[in-house]
Amino acid sequence: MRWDFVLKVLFKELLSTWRDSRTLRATILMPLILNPLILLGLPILFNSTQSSEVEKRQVVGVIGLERMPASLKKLLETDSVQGKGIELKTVTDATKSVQDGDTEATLVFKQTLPTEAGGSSVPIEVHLKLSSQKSRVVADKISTAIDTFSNQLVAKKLASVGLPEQTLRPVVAQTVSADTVAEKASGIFGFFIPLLLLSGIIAGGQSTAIDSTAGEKERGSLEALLVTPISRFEVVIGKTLGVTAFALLSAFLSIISLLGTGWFSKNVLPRLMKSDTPLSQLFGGNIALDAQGYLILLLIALTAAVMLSALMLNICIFAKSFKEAQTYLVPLNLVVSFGSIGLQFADFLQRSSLLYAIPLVGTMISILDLIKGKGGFGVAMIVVVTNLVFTAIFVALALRSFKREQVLFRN
Amino acid sequence: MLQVQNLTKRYGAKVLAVDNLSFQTKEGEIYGLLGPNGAGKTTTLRMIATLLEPSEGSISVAGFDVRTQAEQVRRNIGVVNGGMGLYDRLTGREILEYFASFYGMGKLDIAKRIKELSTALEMNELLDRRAGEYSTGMKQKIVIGRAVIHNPSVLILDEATNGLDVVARRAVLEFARAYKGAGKVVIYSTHIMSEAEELCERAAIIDHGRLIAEDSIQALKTRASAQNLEDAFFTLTKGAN
Repeated sequence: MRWDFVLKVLFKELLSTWRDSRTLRATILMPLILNPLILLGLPILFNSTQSSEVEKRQVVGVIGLERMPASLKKLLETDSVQGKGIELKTVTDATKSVQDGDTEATLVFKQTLPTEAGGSSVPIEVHLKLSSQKSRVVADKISTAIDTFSNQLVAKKLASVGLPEQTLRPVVAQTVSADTVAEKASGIFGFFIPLLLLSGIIAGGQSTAIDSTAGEKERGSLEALLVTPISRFEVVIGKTLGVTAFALLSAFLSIISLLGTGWFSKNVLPRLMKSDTPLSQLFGGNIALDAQGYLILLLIALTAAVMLSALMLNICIFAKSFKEAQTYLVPLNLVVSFGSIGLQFADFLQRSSLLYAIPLVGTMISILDLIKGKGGFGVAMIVVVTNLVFTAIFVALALRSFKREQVLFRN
Repeated sequence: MLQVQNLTKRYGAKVLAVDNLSFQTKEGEIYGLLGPNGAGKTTTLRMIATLLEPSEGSISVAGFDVRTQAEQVRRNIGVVNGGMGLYDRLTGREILEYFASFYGMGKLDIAKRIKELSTALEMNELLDRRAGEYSTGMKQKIVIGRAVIHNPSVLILDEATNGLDVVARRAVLEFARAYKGAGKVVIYSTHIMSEAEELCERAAIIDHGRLIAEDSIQALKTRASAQNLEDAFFTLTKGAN
C-alpha cells in the first residue's frame, strides 16, 4: 500500500467535506446544539410541566358524593405544600367522563366510608388513564389525600386506646443512595449518552461516506479516479479514513458538549432556576469520569467511529445516487436509536463477554457501563477488538464492492 | 499502440455486450469507434481502461496487457467520457493537482503541466474557482485536462461532446486534433457520424457488440457507395443485420 496515495485521497475527502456547509451543520452544530438541548431541555421541560400540573387544580369526577366524609372532601380540595387541591364534580359515568376529557379522574364511592377505623376496609374506585403522565399527578394527589384520611382514622382509633400514632410503624425504612459519583452523574438519562455519541459519529461521517461513494458514482468522478494508477485498496482505505475523521470530530465534539452540559447543569442551572437540587441530580445524563475513564471512552469512540465509517462506506457504495444512499443509511440510524432506547433496560441484562462482542450493542452497553463507573479495561478491550475485527471485515467487503462491476456501474 | 483482439464481454449467460471484437490503432491517429447507443462502445472502452475485465480476448496498450499490467496500462491512458464529473467543492487547479499526484509527478512538473494545459485549453482565469461554479464547457475542459495531465500515449474520448454547446464542442475537437499531432493515439467514440467524419482517419463501426466494418473513413463511404459517413453507417449496419 502506498501511504502517499492514501493520504491524498484522505486529504481530498477532508477538503471537499470541509467546504460543504451541510457537514458543518451535521458535524459541528448537531452535537454542540442537540446534545445540550436534549440533556438540559428534556429535564427542564419534564420538570416544568410536572410542576405546572401540580400547581393546577384538576377537575375530578365523583359518583356517590353523599358517601364521602366531609373530612376527606376537605383533604382533596384543600391546597397543601405539595400543590393545589382538586375540584370535585358530580358525574354519572366514571370511565366515560375521563375518556371524554371532562375530568382528569373519577372517584366512585360504592359504599359509605367509615368515620372510624376498626371495621373492614372499604374500597374507593379511582378511574384514570394509567397510560397518561398527566394522570399520574392527579393520582398522586388523590392517593395522598386518601392515605392522610386513612391515617387520621387510625390515629384517632389508636389515641382512643391510649396508643401513639407510631404504634403501627415501629420500624421505618430510610433509603440512602449507594450510587457512585459516576452513576449519579449518568442518572436515569444516562442511556442518552451512547445514543448521542453514536448518532454523532454517524451524523458526522455520513455526509463524507455518501459523497465519496454514491456521490462520486453519480457525478462520474469515481470512474475517473479508478483509471489512475491508484489501487482500489488505497482508495477504500483513504475514503474510510476520511469518513472516520469527520465521524471522530463529531464524536469528540459530542463528548465536549456532554461535559459542558454537565458543568452547566451542575453549576449554572440551579442558580438560574433558583433550585437547591440541580437537575443533573434528578435526571443525570452527564459524565463524571476519571482520566482513565475518559481515555477508555475515547478508545471505544475511536474504534466505533472507524467501524461505522467502514460500514457506511459499504452501504453507500451500493447506492446509485446521493439520495439513494441517504435512504440506505436510515436503517443504521434506526438500529442505533432503538438500541439506545433498549439501554433503559440494560440493568436487567446479564453481562457476558459475548454480549460485549456484539458489534454496536457491545459498544453501547460498554459506554453506558463506563459512564456508570462499571466498565473496566477488560470489557473495553473486548469492545475495541470487536470493533477492529468488524472494521477489517467491512473494509474487505468495501474493497470487494469497489472491484465489482455490478456495484460500480449500476447506472 | 493499442491492440484489441477477439475481445468479448458477457454479463451473465444472456447478455453479450461485446462479441469477438478486434482492431488496432497506429501512433498519431484519431481512431473512431462508431455505433448507436448500446452498441458496446463504452463497454469496450471501459475494458481498455481496466475498469471492466474482459470475458475473453486480449487488450494491449503501449505494449502492456490490461489483465496482468493494469497499472502500467493506466499510466498510458487518459479517459474522458460524457458522464465524467468533477468535485464541485474543489477548484479546477486542485482537481488537476489531485489527479496528477497519482502519476508520480513532482510539484514543479505538475505546475508546469497545468500551465501548459491551461494555455492549450484556454482556462487560465477560471482555474482557481470552484468547479461547482463552472459552465458545462469549462467543466469539460477540466475533465480533458485531468485525462491528459500525465501526457498519456492513448486518449479515449467517449461521447465527449455530449451536452456541449457549439463553442465547447469545437474546443474538444481541436484539442483531439492537437493531441494526435503530438504523435499520440486518440480513440474517439461517438454516435454522431458528422463529428467522426470531420475528425477521424479510420474507424470501426460496431453494432450489437460486433464489428461491422473497419477502414478509413473514405473507404467506408466508398464501400457503402454513400455520400457521407452517416449514410455509410446505415448501409453497412443494415447489411450486417
